[in-house]
Amino acid sequence: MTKHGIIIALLVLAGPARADKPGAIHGRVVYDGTAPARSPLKVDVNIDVCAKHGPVLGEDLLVGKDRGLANVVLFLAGITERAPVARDAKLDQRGCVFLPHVQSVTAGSTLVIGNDDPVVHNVHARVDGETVFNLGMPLRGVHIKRRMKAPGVTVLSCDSGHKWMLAYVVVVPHGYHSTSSAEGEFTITDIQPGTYTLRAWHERLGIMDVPVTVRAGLDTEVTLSFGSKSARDVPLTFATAAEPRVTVTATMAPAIATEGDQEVALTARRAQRDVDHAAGRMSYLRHCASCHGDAGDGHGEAARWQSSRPRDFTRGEIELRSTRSGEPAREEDLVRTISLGVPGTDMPAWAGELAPSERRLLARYVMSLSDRYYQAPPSAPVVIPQETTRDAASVARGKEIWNKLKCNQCHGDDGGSPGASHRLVDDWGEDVDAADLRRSVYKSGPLPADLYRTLVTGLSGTPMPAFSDLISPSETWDLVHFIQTLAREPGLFDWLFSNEKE
Amino acid sequence: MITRILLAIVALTVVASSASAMPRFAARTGADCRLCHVNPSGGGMRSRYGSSVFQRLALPLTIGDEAGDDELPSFSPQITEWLSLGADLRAAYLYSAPDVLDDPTSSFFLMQADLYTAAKLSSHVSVVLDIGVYSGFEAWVLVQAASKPSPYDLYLKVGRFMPTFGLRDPNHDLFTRQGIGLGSSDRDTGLELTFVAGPATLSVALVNGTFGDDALDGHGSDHRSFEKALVSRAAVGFGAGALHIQTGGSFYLSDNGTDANPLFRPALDAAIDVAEGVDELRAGAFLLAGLGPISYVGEAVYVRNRFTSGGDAVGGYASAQELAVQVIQGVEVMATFELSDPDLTLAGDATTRAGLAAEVFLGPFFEVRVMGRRAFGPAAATDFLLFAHAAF
Repeated sequence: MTKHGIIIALLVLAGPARADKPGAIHGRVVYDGTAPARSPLKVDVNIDVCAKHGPVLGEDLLVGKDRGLANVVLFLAGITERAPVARDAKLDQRGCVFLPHVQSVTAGSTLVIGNDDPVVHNVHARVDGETVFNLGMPLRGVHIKRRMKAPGVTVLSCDSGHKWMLAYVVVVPHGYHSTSSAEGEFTITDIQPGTYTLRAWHERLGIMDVPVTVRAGLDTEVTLSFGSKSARDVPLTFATAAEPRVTVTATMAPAIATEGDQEVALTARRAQRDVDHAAGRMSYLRHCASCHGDAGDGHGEAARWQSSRPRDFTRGEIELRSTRSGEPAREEDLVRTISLGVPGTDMPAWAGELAPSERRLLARYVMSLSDRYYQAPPSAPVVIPQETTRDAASVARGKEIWNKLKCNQCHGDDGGSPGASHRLVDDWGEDVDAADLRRSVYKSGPLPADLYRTLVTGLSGTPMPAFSDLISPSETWDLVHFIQTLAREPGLFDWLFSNEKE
Repeated sequence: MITRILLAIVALTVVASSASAMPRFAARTGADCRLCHVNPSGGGMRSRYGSSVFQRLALPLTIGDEAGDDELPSFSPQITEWLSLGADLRAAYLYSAPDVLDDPTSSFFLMQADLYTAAKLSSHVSVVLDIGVYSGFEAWVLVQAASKPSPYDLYLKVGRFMPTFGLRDPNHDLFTRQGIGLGSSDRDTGLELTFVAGPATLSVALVNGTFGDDALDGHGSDHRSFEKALVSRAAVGFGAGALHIQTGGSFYLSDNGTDANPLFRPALDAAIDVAEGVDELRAGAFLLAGLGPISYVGEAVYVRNRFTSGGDAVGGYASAQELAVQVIQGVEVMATFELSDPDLTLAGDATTRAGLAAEVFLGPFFEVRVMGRRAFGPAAATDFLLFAHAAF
């Protein structure tokens, strides 16, 4: 411990010891270094709201009184037993800042996300770069709930140009965790007696482990000295080196519970992945690799001349899905995209060229490029209800929803983007334009149901969020009907100057 | 009669084309040759994008597309991960009516039949073989510096190939192609370096400096030792929105060659003994511009010959321009205008040629083309050409 520069004081507090009673860990995290000044962040969008109360200061290293280090998540590593019941957690957006900046939650907990600002926010949550959800939040005072299922560090950002907005929700597969306060204090309770590895995570400093012995019915006090020298810059895991890594899956909630059946199913799915990969490899190389790359990373030799970046399949983010925001696409979604192409982009429709069986082979091969599709059974598709009557009243209601959701902030007042006052970037950091809805060329397809699906699922990897939590199915149809009225006949100018493919 | 037969043979010869690039597609997309061709300088065998995506889905008519049949495996020229095939086949009908003849000539003929093979030996090395029934063969090794796609790259080509000069238009009988010694059979042997830096490319080749199809390229071996031809082309592309522009220049300098440039051959002074040696200079500029479905392709080349046997140097000029419109996917209409002026006077020996053409890509890998053309000047004639082209 000392070689890591860790100062630990274990103090067994007075009190009657009872072997069958759980203990607790009380502690404090102190910063091992000179407390830095908080630097102001660049606020260049919605300044009247976001900088209303002065500059927005960085929160990546908050050192409080007596060097207390805030926003450190602490949990017991290597725990496999059943956890306490998951609880709700809150995440607010106020003054264009996420509150709290860092928190830990038990897997299966519900995160209630609110927007207290009179501007459009867009909460985009990712774990290891993979989208967990991407939700438009244009309405002040509205809250959206999301179950936090995937253990790991969930990074939340805002796609509405508020690049400085950042929050971390560390989803722990059990209930033995805490987040240090502004003074660096934390508490973990209800721990069975024993020796544990207490793992601490900080967004900037990294990770460090401390052995802790918890005695029955007693409180153990721990002080961690956390600094850049003592911490390790490694990915966060929940296992210890001495024990086999705890396998966690996206569906494992509320507790870790690595049931045997799940393991068997997981093994079977991964075996299927190998089969799919081998079966589709040659067809993929022939038809897809020149753009999407031999490795599926979007870096094929023809990619640089495409009007839009070929999709990187290795991250498992398939833009056109029929599943809820953050859930992996279904095989049928990929078959559909391969068959019909992506209108308005260079992705062609292969339906006339490739047999259905080969398109399915390709879809499975694309899925085999990301482990994401084999961690859990396929997600269910969203239900698209029967279209409501398309009439003037529906269009008028749709226009109200368009204004309420502030769709114009990205798509422009008349639907002919650009309307965004800020740069729109995709998950790979590349500039993208919001769809020009006047052209009535929709990536998802030409049918009203295709538009409906996009509104409720969002488009993975792009700033287009899902609105399923904000509007009802009938309101979604109204919005579809209004969007259809934005289309206009292309003129000579469009013919000459449009870069998009029909 | 003999004159008629000779003219017919000449007509058939000049329209015989080898597989080449489609500069108008590059003009519209802003892409360089590498997008669709294995050869970084363009022409010949298609890349896997060129054959499997562009020719299959971006070129042909989309009317009447039906879902693929489960019973039929899809065609692909990529045999294995490292071996690919390709082919070009053109069959044509030519009607030609030279003004000097009373009766026109007409004939069916096979313009081209080429079989390509490319083997990717490693992430850096490929071997390409092009066996042409009419236009001879190419065989070269391509060494690529970057093992992964990169905007910066360096290629070394060694073997027998078409030196990179100007635009490698598919119409080899253009005044700026066959008219100045860059016809389908004017391959040469040597090595070529191509540098790519984003939108800019520079090719520099050192070759024997020969005309015509000769596998041994032994022309001039009787009087040439280290004299060679230096060929270079530089190009840069830029654009904004739907507007794409590529422009560049080419340079060819052959030291002590063995034949006069075709531009001058018909009117060359009989007193000049070209076999004693010819120093040749070609300098050209080209422009590709694309705006949505419209493309313009233009090239102008100055040629000068100096003769070892004495006499004045001769200088001439050739140019070719094409304005094309993609009416819908799969249907193109084009207007062409060419000028060949062997003495820079715009009179006397100067020939102009104007043409109209329509091209329809009926399906993947297959097109038909009709063309009418009228030449004015010493070789005044009216031609009508219909050809079918299958390639992959």
